[in-house]
Amino acid sequence: MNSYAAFLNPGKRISNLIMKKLNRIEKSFEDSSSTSTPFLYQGDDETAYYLKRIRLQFASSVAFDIKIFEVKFKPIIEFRWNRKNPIGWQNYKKFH
Amino acid sequence: MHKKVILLILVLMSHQLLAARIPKNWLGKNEISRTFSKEDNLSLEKSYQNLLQTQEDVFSKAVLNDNRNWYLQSIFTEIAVEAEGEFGILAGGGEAALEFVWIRKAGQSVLNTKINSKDPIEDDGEIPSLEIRSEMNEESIQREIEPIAQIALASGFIKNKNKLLRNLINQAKEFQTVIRDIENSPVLGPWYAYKYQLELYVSAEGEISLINLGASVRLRMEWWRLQKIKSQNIVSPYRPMELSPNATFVSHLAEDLKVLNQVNLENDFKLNFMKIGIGKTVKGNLIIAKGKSKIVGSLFFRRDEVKPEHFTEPKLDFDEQPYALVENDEIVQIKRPAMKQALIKSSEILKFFTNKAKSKKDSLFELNVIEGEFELFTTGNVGLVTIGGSVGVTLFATRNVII
Repeated sequence: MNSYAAFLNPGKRISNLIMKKLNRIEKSFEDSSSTSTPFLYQGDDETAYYLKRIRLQFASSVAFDIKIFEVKFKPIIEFRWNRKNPIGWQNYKKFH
Repeated sequence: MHKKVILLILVLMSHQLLAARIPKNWLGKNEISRTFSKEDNLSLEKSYQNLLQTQEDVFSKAVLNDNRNWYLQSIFTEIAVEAEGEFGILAGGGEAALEFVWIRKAGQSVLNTKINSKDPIEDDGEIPSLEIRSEMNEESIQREIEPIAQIALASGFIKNKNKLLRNLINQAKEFQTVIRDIENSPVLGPWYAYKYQLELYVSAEGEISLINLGASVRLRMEWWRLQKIKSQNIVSPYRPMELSPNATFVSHLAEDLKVLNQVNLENDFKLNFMKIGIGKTVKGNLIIAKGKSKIVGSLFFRRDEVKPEHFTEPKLDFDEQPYALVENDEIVQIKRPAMKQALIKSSEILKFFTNKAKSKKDSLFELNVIEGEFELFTTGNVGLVTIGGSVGVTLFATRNVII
């Protein structure tokens, strides 16, 4: 999209900026992916604590200050990554 | 990290909606009364519904591009209460009193298979190739934390990765010591601790802080409690004297949360999740941390909705020891009956907001989570946190999602 089109469509402009950031982060996940990720703490044979979610929130930058739908928004963006449980393990519940 | 979800958080800057004040006793500083006048109620109700309606209308006009491997899954807004009780959308820094998560409805996108309101929040899938070992040593902690430092670097906000990595590893080790004790707390039910969240603010130089000091990135890491799929999780309780002080602390909280069982919310909302900030004394004992400066992390409790028939709750006869609470660098006490009273009042305030939160059938996003942030007072009083206040307890009203 050229810059004039982006100016006319601020929603797409935000999308493009987010996409650029997301692509960089995704690449870093690919570079550092591992199949050997143990629990941070295993209390006994039955339960354990496991890093399952990472959330990263960016304060908005000037570039994101933009007007959409006649209301001025100041977006803050948060990415969340969830990781599946290891085989044979599930989220703790008292009753199943 | 197999599943990626993007949240676009929009902090509205309009001040047109700042029209009402919350009842004074909802600030929690003076009165313990849980009632408020009809006039107050009508004014707040009108303002609140106007606010919900405006957000829903704005979000329904969003132009979404689904032709990507990522998608807008939810929108998050924050509501603040000023010192005198004025109620409106958070425009700058400070504590939010209410946080709303609007999740995109199933059926409103070409990516129906991806956008399932339950799916992004809890994922019980498995990674077949993942190797399991017992407790991590420093080297394996580093391997675990490395990708996190890497994504922070990739965000473009962080410059010093090595310093960040060192700081994060230290925090993870600190967490290990905390959960050693938490893990030993017996689950008596129906409430139990199910995850631990570490919230950090990371500066460009890789320094980490528990409070937001300006230009920084907020990083939250969540360690979830897992269990073996075939495990028998209803274990015999320990005897109280066999529990460590921290296991007792967690068991007390879980027991006191039972007072929330009597609260019924409307519009399909459930009150099944609670978060509390915890700190540590010099001896390593857990205490309730009011505000963020002394917090070492947040402990989340949940309640399962399904309970087997004919199940009798095991009970431990604990001493009625008060909780320790850190406030303005001082350790004070809050008695357990006062804590229960605070929980009930918090839930009744939250009930006001859930009972007015009907959603339109044809909307693109649905309000699925209302997070109420409350300030605790040692008298047992509690109130919605004001912009400059300190959060003690967070209650979550949710519908159709696990947080």
